[in-house]
Amino acid sequence: MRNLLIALACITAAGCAHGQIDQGRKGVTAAVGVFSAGVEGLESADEAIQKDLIDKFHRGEITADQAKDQYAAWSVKYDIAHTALTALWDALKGAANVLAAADAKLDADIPTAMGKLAAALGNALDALRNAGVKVPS
Amino acid sequence: MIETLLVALVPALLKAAAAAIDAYRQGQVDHATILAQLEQALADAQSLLGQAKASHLARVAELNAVLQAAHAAATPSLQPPPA
Repeated sequence: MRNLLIALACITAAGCAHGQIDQGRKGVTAAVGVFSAGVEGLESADEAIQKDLIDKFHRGEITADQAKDQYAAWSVKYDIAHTALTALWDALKGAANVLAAADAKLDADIPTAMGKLAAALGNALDALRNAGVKVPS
Repeated sequence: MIETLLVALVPALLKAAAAAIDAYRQGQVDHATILAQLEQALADAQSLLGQAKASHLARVAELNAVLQAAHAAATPSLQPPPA
């Protein structure tokens, strides 16, 4: 993720004096941060929940059906969060292309790209929080 | 909101980015190289997503295998009647 942010920062560096491009740089920085923390947090939570269910089953605290049901319920939240993170990646890629075009003095619709990125960022944060994944705020 | 996230989430990344911007502005980094790094970084991020999904599916399979093994161990097998 560090490389992604650095590359994006450099791509926008030439135009940083321009308000829109500066806004774009900040947007992608926040998105990269949430993406990174989100993937890592989702992975950790998935591992912990699966292990906890297996341990509880072995200790006789829950039945096999309960373990299956609880992991299935978690998997629904996992899938929603993973899909939201995938959408965030799509928006990041789109923003990167637009910012690169702006840096190259080509036509670039920065507000639209930033709007999509902000929407994807909000959805990802909601999905992660709904899954119980702690994202720094 | 983005401003808040920016400050709270990624101070270390921001520091690295600031240093990279300085290097880029001073001409120490080639533009084409940066574009190539951006492509690679996006590919790496996409790969992370794929790995996470694969790990989740493996955990689903592992949980099912554990539960099935326990079920099989608890089920008495039928013995053939004595001849």
